[in-house]
This record gives sequence, structure tokens and C-alpha cells, in this order.
Amino acid sequence: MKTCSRFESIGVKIPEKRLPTHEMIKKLNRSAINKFELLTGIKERRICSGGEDSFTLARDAAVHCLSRSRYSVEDLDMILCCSISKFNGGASYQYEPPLSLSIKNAIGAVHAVNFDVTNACAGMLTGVCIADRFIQRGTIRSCMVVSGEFITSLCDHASRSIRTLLSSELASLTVGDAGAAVILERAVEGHEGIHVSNFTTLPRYNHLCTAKLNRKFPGFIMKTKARQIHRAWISESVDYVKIALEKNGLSLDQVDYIIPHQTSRSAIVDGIQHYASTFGVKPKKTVINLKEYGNTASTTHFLALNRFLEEKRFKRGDRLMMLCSASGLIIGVVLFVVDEIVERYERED
Amino acid sequence: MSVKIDRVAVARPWVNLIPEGSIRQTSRAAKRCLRKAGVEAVTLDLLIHVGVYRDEHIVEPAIASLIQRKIRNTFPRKCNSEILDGCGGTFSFDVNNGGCGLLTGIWLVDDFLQSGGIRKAMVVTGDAEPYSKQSEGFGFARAAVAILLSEAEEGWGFVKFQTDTFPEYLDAFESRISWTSWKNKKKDRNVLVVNSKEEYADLCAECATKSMRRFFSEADFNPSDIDLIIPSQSPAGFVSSLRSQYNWGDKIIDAGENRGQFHTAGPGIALEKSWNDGRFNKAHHVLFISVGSGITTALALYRNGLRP
Repeated sequence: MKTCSRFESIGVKIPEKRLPTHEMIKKLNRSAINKFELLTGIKERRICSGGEDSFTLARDAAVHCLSRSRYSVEDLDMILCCSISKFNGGASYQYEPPLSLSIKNAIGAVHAVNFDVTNACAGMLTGVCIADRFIQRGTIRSCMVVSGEFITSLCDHASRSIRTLLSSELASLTVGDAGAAVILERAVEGHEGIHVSNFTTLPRYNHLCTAKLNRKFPGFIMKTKARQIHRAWISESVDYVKIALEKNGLSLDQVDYIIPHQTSRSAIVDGIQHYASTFGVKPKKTVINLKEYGNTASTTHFLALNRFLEEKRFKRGDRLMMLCSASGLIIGVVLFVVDEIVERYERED
Repeated sequence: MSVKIDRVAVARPWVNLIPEGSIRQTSRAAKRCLRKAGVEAVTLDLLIHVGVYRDEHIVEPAIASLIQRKIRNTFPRKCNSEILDGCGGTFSFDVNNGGCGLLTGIWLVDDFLQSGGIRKAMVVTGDAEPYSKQSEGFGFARAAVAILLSEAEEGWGFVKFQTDTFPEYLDAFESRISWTSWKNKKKDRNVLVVNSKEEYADLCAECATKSMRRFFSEADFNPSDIDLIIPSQSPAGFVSSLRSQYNWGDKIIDAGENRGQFHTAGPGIALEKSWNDGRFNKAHHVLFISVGSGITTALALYRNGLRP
């Protein structure tokens, strides 16, 4: 196995304000959408308030991540901001300078190189893929991959315009706001690091989920053919997962936890069942972190990882697989073994 | 091993009166680049889009994915785990580093290539006003560039990269979409607002000078050994400022002429100009200098092998 980098520290920022699904449904007054909560498994989501936006979520997640890290802010060699939403100053979407530079300046990472990476919900994992390469080659020693997603403006618009469960904006009701940050460093020799593989874009599916500026309301509008993109991902990802496992000498039942992209409970369960029938075995556990947070776009994997670490659900030596699925269609796999990072969470008590 | 330029291609509007979207224009540049190089799109391992201003302000999926589809790179290659660490196919994503995006994209390709995951990549960029006449201060000319890259022997191709930021000038150039009133219309709307300070070009030249000093000192390289300079083509006055400051004369490529300011595509357009007139191939040492908002500077030294 090729050793490269490891997750050194993880930080998150979750807004305080909650928006329960039943309140959204009440506002919609559409009885058909009562099934929504059952299908998605989303009881509520957190939403930005009081001056919070993509920038503040990312910045606060970065500060939280640094507070748990052995690295001081001056030690960071690179900062990659991977948000889809780049709101800075409320509903003001920042193109230039890149948001990574605003974050870098806000936290005082004077020596870090920065740039933004955008790859839909695969943003943070694409950032991990890039950071891993730079660390592997020795160009840098540490990299912070950070994202802040202020995307509930999609929710606002969708709740006003959706009339049936077949609406192409239905997926917009699943989203929530959150920030996440992770520091990567070179793994010590003899220890397993993360293994990033099979990141591929299948553009023939890129029309199945698109988001662009809303011309009539502040923020953006997202249209999704949820069933089609889910079906495409399930059927296409099997080969990629299989090869990633083979490359690492593993079978699916040797994976202790799968962390898929958090879209909806029914989609995740369906996907894992498909894997189980294809591979003949299934992973021991699947991480679903939708109930309180919804789909937080590029931050979902690290929000889930952080939560399970905080709740001491992982133990040292557990093998985790992050599955990347995003509009594009992006497929990718990140495999790693839980290392001494769990002890840091134990010390936090 | 390092990364070398196999081919560069530029696409400009067919007719200035008919606006062409950034995605279509960038796809044209990419197709042209592949055609000139005699390379099939399906052989690309990596596609990075580094443009900033895109059609309809699309934020999802990555613009690179939309371009990948337009250049007909639709089906993944047969799995070849020995070469590509798994299933083959093209991985595409977007990078935003303002006017320094092109060099940042090439730097990423260099890194992916050196860490053994890929063999051929393309960096593409194109900027266009997202919604026609729904912006303030947007002065960039429509243009797109594609650069095809592959591995070079050690010591050739791009041999050194450097990026610096000057946060004291963070507000010298800003662009954002704001929900605001627009031309006395009753309803508010999303408007792209681009603000550039008057002294932005001078500040960029000043920052580029500071970065070059560090670059040459760390590389232990004499600036007089540079045969060709490929600079950013914006802000207006940046190229002439560098030319007069360093007495570079014709060594520095000015591709702007009267065609307006080229944003992220600027260095690529300058590269294409020097490629077409033969100066790039004749130059032994080529210096790429990019500047952008932040203020961010990116420099790269390219060593040319003798070509037949």
C-alpha cells in the first residue's frame, strides 16, 4: 500500500438556527410532501442567521479545526476553499478575490498558498485529492481543505415554487448550511494514510443536477432529476468501488464504515443494498447523518466524520470508506484507517 | 519528470455582435487544441477549468464537466489500473485563482503528473459576461484558451513555480454578485459588480517585481538569461509597466493590442501569439508572470528543449 497523507484534524461550524422539516411542509401546505420527511430522513436542517454566510462558516470551521490541531496557523502551507456557495457579506456572492484568500487572511495563515476548487458536492474530496498529491510529492507538508455552504436560499425558493413531488426543485428542500475544515499532513512511515482513488467525471450525466444564479430572487436555483442521478451513480460507481478495494487488497465486508454523500436516507439505503447484492457482501455499517443537518453539499462527509468521532462511534483501526458522488457526475473513493485522531477526541472530554 | 506544453489554442468570438457563451467558446478552444495536437479527447486524464466569469453564473456542476461533455469525452476508457490507479477516464474540476488561474492549473497538472496518476492533461479557461448587459464594471474581452500538457524529461518544461499574495491590496480588485437595484428598475435583481481601483495596474506591477526578486534569488537565476516573457494581459498598463521597468523590449509579449483586456485567458493568448510566430520555440528560458486579484502573483520558469 502506498502511504501518502492523513487527516490530522477536523473542525466544523454548524449554525445555531434550526428549520424543522414539518415547519417547511406547513409553510408549503402540500399534503403530498408529507412523505418527504419519511423518504429523506431529514427532520430538520441548520440555517444561517445573524450575519452568517459561506465565508463565516468556512472561517469558523477553519478556526475550530486549528484549535484541535498540532499545527499553528503559521504552519499551514496551503489552503483550498471548496465551497459551491461563496457568499461573503450576506447574499453577496464573491468571485474575486477567491474566497480561500479571504479565509486565509481572516485566520492569519501568512505562509499558505491558496486557491479555490469547485467540483459541486465533491468539492472537499477533490480538495483532499489535490492536497494528497502535493503532500505525497513533498511540495507541501500541511494543507487545510475548507468549505462553508450557505445554500438554504435554495430551500426558500423551492418551498415557494414546488407544487408536486415530481418537481425538479424537490432536492433543494433537503439542503442545510454548515462549514467544515480538515488538515492533511504526511502520514508517518509505517502508518496507513489515506488512499484516494478513481476520481472520475462522467459528463454524460452532468445535466441531471444543475445550479445557477436565480434571476428573480437572491441566491441560486437548483434543478435535479434526483432518481435519474441516483440510478446513474449506483450503476456506474460499482466498478470504481471494486477497483479501489482491489487496489488496497480489501473486500467490501472489510470496510467498517461507509460514509456516502448525504443526500437522502432512501437513496443511501438503496445504494448500499445494490452494493451488497453486487459484491455478495456488505459493509459493516453505513453512516447516515441527515436527521439534524440535511444535505450540506461539499461538507457532508466531514460533518459526518466529525460527528461520529465526537460521539466516539469509531475506534482506532476502523477502516472507513468515503464515497464521492456529485453532480458532474463525479465518482471517487477515499479509503483510510482511523488512527490516533480518535485519542484527541477522547482527550477533549 | 516535469510538465511540458504540447499545444495551445485560442478561441475568440466569431462575430463581435453575437455574444458567445464562455462554455461554448472554451469548448471551441479545447477542440481546436486537441485537433492541432492530433490527440483524442478520451486520452485526457485531467481537465481543469480556471475561468472565473461563466454563463448564467453556473455553480454546479463544475464548468470543466460541461466542457468535457462538449468535447465529446463522454465515455471512460477501458479500465487500466496499472497506469491510472483504477478506472481510467477524465477527472475534471474547476479552480479559481483569479488572473493567476492558468498558472495554478498548470501547477496542479505538474503535481498530478509527478505523483504518478496521470499522463496527459488540459487546462482550459474562458471568461464572458455571464448575462449580457447585467453587470457593472465588467470590462474583459471574450476569449478562451486551452493548453495541452504532458510529461517532459527532467529539467525541461516547467521547472519552477511560485505563488505570492499581497493581502494589503485585497480590495484593489473585487467582483461579486449582489442583490441590488439596477438601472432604476422597480425590482431588485442579481447584478455582477466589478470594482477595480485606479492604481490597480501599478500595484500589480509592484507586486510582480517583488515576487520576481524572490523567484530569481531562490532559483539562483539571472533575469538577463530570460529569452521570453509571457505575462498576464490585464490590467491595462501592466505589460507596458513591466516592459519599461525592465527594459525587456520585444522579449515581453503584448497580445492585448486593441482587442480589450483578456482576463484569465491572457497568458494563454500571449503564449499562442509567441507560439505562432516561432518565438516560443526559439526561446530557451521562458518566464510566465501572472497577476490577479488579492493581489496574487504566480510565476513559472519554462525551459525549452530544442525542437526539430
